[in-house]
Order: sequence, then C-alpha cells, then structure tokens
Amino acid sequence: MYYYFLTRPRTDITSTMTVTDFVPNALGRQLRSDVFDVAMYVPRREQKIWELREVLNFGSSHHIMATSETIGLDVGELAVGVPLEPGSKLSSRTDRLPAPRTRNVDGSPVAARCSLRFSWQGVSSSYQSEYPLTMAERVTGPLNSFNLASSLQGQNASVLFCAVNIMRDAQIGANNYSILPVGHDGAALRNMAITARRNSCSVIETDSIEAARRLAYSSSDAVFLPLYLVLGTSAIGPSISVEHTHPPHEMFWQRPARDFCLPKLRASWEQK
Amino acid sequence: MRTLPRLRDGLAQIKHYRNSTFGPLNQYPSFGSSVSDLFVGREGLFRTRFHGENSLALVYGRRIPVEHLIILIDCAGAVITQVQVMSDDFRFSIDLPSTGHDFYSFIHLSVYSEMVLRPIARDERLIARNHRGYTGYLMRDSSVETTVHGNFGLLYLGKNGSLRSLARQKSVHRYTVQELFNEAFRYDLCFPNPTARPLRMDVDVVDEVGSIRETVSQVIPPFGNWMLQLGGERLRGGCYLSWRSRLPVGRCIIFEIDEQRSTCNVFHS
Repeated sequence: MYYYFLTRPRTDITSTMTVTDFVPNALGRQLRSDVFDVAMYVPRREQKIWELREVLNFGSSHHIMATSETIGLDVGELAVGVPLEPGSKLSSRTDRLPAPRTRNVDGSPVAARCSLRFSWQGVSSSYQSEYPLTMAERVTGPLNSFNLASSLQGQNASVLFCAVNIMRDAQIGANNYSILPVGHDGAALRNMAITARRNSCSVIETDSIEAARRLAYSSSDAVFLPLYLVLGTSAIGPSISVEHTHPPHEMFWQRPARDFCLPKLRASWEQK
Repeated sequence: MRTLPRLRDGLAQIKHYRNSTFGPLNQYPSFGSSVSDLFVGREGLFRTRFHGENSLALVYGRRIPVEHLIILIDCAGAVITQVQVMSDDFRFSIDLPSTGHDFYSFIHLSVYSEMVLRPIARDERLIARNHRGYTGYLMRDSSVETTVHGNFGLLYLGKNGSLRSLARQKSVHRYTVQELFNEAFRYDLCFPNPTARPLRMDVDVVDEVGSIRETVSQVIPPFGNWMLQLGGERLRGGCYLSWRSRLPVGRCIIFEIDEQRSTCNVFHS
C-alpha cells in the first residue's frame, strides 16, 4: 500500500501529481477501472497534526491532477496523497495519517504509483512515484543513497538532493534527523552534515562539481526517499532531470545474500 | 464486460494460479552470479551514458578492482559488441560507444578476479549481484542528463557466452501507465524483451472517456527491443496508454520529447 506526495524543493520549482483510475497492473486482458478518492494532507509540525487540505475525486475524468501551487506548499513542505475508499469519512485534523487503500486487484507484482512531475522554467521531468506505507511507519533505520549525480552535469548545473520523509504519526514527524554526505574515499564528510526535517522534503543544493565529489548520502536515524533533481541551462535553454535511487537491498538477490550483504553494507558505511 | 473476454480472463486466472506464482521468475539467481537489468541505449538524437555500481566495494566499504562488462544488444536480440572497463571505484560512469543503431539494449555485469575473491570466498559464495544501474541520455548538445533506472530483466551470460535470462513470460497481464499523454510531445516508447522467447506486445491508446482508440501490436524477438513512436493527432485531447503482454511486470522506458525546446523527459512506465 502506497502514499503519494507533492513537494516544492525550491521557490521556482513546482510539482504535479497525476494518477489514473485504471488499475496499474493486473492479470487479464481487460482495461479495468477502480475508483477511489485521494485525500490530500499537509503536516502541521508545530501542532503535531496532519491537516486535511482537500479530497480529490475522479468525477467524469479518468485521472486526478494536483499541484504544489494549488495545495499552497512553501519550499520544503510536502503534501501527502492518501488513496481511500470513495466517500470515506475524514476529520479535518488527525494525529495519524489514514492507511492508504490498496489499488491491487490481484497478486500482480507492481507498486501502484502516480506520476510526479517537477517543472522549472517551462520544462519538466517526471518519474513514477510512491511512498510505501511500511516506510512511513519506520521511525529509524540506516539508509545509504548512492549519489546519482556523482558524474559532472555541465558547468552551470545545480544538483538538488531531496530527502523526502513521511511519518504517519505526526507526533514522531515533528522530530528532526541527520543526513551525512559521504566522499568517494568512503569517509563521511562530517562537517557537511545537515539537520533534516521529518514530514518534509529536505534539500541539499550544490553545484554539479561539488555534487560529483559526493559518493552517497547516509542517515542512521531515519529512512527517507532520495530524489535527485538536476537543473541546467545552456545555449539550447533550460533542462531538468529527476530520478530516485534504488535502496541498496535491490543490489542483491536471495534471502541469504540479503541477510548477509545488507547488514555488512550498512556496517561498512556506518563505521566511517 | 463481454462474455468471451471474461471467460478468457477467468481461464487465464486458473492457469496463472496453477503456475502458483505472480512472480516474474521461475527461479532465483544462483549464488555468486552476476545478473543485470535490461537497459535501453540511444543514438542519433541522443548520447547515452551509463552509471553502474561496484557491488562488492559497496558491501565492504573499500575499493575493490572489478571488470565491468557492458554487452550491447541490437533490436533483433543479437549482441552488437561488448565493452570492458577495469575500475576499483565504488561507482563507474561510461559514455557508451557508437553502435550505428538508433536504439538498442544493454546489460551490465561484474567480474572479480580469483585473487580478489579468495580472501572473501566464504562471503562471495553468498552474493548474487543484481546490477541495477542508471542510464543518462543527453539530447543533442545538452550537458544535463535525463536519467532513468534499468528495467527489470535478470539477464546474464551463459557458460558458452550466450545471453540468458531468469525472467519468464507468464499469463497475460495488462499494464497501464499512470500518466496523461498529450499531443504537445512526441513519445518514444522502448519495450525491451528480457526473456528468451518472442514477446507479443499489444499497446492500446485509450481516449479521455476510456475507449480504446487504437491498438498497435508487435512481436519482439528474444532479448530484442521495440520502439513505438506516438504523438500529434494520435494523442489528440490527451490519452492514456495501456498494454497487454505475458510479462508480469511489463514496463517500458518512455522518452517524452519536446522538439521545439530540444528537451526530453525520460521515465519508466
């Protein structure tokens, strides 16, 4: 089961979420629809609550769109989209996000995603996006995100590393966590550690040269979804690119390999 | 729903459950093996750059020499060429060589020497390395890559050096992209076939009221690749894209091209 989200990583960057009512992946030949509502919540960190901003439904269309502008997000804020049964009764304030309803209709193996599109200076880039419920319930846990922008992206390029964290429990979501860049020699760049906010999109912006010096971003006290946005301008105009990185466990197969490799990988990077 | 398709779906369900799995594999990679996602490379309008990982170096947190093997495959599923790169970096990046093909597939494998493996032999025995790298595309003279990760494949080289795969075709699945496609862009949809059998793909263009406006079908050779170009009138008013195949996770790589601005957005479906 998956949440969706919108965010605003920088003043001049907006995001748009698109989700259809078509079942993303299912057994059989038929094009199947499955109607649901999407409740948009924003965290109120000071009050330690989630505030219901609006409930989106498909109406006569087959898709729903929402943008960071229509939700009214400030830089670093995020809004969480929760797929729910149509007509679900919701209170305007809650200390715990509702669990998202599943969009799967059988055991077909796919995460039911939305499209998340980032726009900047008239150009845009998107990826198929989701935030698993299991991640939103994990308070702590080690995480290594191996830097996607570790090769140079042009002289004028900026790289925005975005750590998206969603905590279902708004009380826990009011606490901060730390993110540590790691150099290509494997050593943590401790003087560059940042304090990140839960239930928000924490952004580390560097130029491409500085970004390329970093091998990874790690955290020992939170899980987050790592996104890399690259912005550049050249003679042909502006360019933007967004992509997420895989969690390290996807680099290995079989339970014995996972049980062995992941603890070792985490230990290798935490000791530094 | 009409009776015949319903019956056909019902039979597919029974067959599928008899196969006892929704999983895309019939078996897992063997211990110590190196398997790869299937990636898409492009030329002409694009240059292609690949970013891969040195799995053992990442596990042990220290530099370990590795031979990265990139195998480039044409649309018919034949190996074009292979590139070897020695490195001890945690990550490596490479501009892929010119192949003379507008688009193609490739895989990334890693080879460690006996000298490297011997001291950690007991550990290595437990590792099935799954290479999931990232492909960056540079459109025309752009210096900013638009990046996407690989498509699930689990391809590897057999003992005789031929391409093999652990991905299997199962019962028919329908995959629908969560996106609205419109006529402002040209879309190149690249469907690599990660299996050792011909793969039939039926792509439906669905209009705004949910009716199928057009279906485009293709049989993709084993380990081959198919590119479907859509745009203009065919997507008038905004459309959804949905397809049927025997892949349990039938994803493709989509290039959303803005010709006027010379920009491209690449994402997997």
